[in-house]
Amino acid sequence: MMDFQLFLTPTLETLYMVFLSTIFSVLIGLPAGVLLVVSEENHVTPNPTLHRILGFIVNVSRSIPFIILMILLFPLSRLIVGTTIGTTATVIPLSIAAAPFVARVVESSLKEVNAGVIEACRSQGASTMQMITKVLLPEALPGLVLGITMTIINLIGYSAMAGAIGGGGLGDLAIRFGFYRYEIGILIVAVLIIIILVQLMQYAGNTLANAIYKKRS
Amino acid sequence: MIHLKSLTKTFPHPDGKITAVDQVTLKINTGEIFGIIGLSGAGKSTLVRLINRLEEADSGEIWIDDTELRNLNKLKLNIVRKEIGMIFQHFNLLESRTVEENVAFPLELAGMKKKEIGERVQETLRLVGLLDKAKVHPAQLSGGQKQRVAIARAIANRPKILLCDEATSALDPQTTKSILTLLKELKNTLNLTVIMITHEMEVIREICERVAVMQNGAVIECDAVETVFMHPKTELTRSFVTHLRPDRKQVAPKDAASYRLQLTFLGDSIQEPLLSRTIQKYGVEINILAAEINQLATVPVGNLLVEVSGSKEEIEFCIHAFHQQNIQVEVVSA
Repeated sequence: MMDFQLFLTPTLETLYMVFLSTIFSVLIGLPAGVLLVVSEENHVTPNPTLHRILGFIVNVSRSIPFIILMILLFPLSRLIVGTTIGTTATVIPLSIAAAPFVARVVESSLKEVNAGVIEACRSQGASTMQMITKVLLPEALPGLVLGITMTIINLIGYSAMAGAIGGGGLGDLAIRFGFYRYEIGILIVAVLIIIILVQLMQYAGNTLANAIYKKRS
Repeated sequence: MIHLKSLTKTFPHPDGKITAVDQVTLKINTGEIFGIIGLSGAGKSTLVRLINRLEEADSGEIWIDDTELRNLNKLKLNIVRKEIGMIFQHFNLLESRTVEENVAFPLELAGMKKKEIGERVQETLRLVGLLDKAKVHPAQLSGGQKQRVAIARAIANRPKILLCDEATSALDPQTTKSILTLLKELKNTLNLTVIMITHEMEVIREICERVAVMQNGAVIECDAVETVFMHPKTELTRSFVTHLRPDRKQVAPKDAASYRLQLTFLGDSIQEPLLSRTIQKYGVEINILAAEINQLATVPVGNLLVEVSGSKEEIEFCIHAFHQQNIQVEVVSA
């Protein structure tokens, strides 16, 4: 019989990493995504230069493979957290890796907001800030919920990868026990827990988005 | 008063540029319902968007009373926009908000206090007859009800001007009528100046006092609606007006010795039994093929398609007599 405690701590670590990095990646990605949309031509406050620069940064940071990004960000982790190893240190690269993804997800959800609705609200004298907080974000809410669900699921995957270079969590457990010590049973259980976490998150996200859709129909 | 002075707007296009609005100059009086009619692509929707600067004009001036809008910065423009309501063909309501929250939206933008917003929203929903739908989301409403919500939202700030961009084009004829009636009522109770963009002459006939006809971005005709109905100056206007007349092609073929005439007259200008008097006086025979009265917002305009038989001379006398009665005569076929 495998030790229950063996799995509990890594599961909590994974949840901790995913939870914090979701918050930080949304804090960075949401404003970036909003800026990407409103700075577009014919949108609320067109600014082609800002739009192009932001788009470029997002694309570049999305092109770097996560494992490389993590190594590149070791100095930053050391600066902020004081170490490069462990769950808290991993939150930094996880957040930065997910932020451009969040930006694109937010961008595509906000683009779904009907142009006529935006025009109507502009005709009523809405400022850029009012446009964002009272129109774009509320109208795109179901899409945003699904997008953030996708981000969480990606982060569960990334956090497992982070285990390979000292990140802690379920990925770390699977690699240390399953891969290095050939304890296939532990590897399988760790993977199963990850699968269950992903399923739960997707279910929760879908339920929430559907509840919003239903309220509006 | 709204005074547009040689407004021009072009859009870039692969083969040079397209002039959507071409040197348009218009004066719209305070408190009138002013129609702008044209075929699709004539530039009327662009023109109305230039007025509240949803589109920026290339050149020209936009005066509303003593304010020139093109000189305003973004902040001042947003203040002026609160005095210009606008409604659209596809309603453009916020799906995330209930009916009352939609109507509250412009009031929130204006920074009104919560309690006042509540009262104003109630009052406005009563004006458009939708108090019972206050808590409902727009998705549950019919097209006509959605347009009523949109109207409520547009007038919530009690604007001076209401811009209507094809506001009835997505609605069935009956709903169109009820929306037009509502707009007419609101114009009177709130003392609005209304600009109606449409491609339907029925809309112009129903509520407009004056009308501008647009073609290829330019205003080609602008006059009181009854004048346009009586004496359309351009081919396009004539086609809009005759579109409302009975179809001539469906009328039986003409008998060889007669004239077929289209008579147009202002409904209140006819004091005597015109046709029977003419028959008695000139000894002609008159056969009515089609007849219609167009009830304009101001006066009724009548249309008669008649066949007059008699000698050429008799018929010419009779046409002359019609002219003297202020009746517009068009010889359809001789």
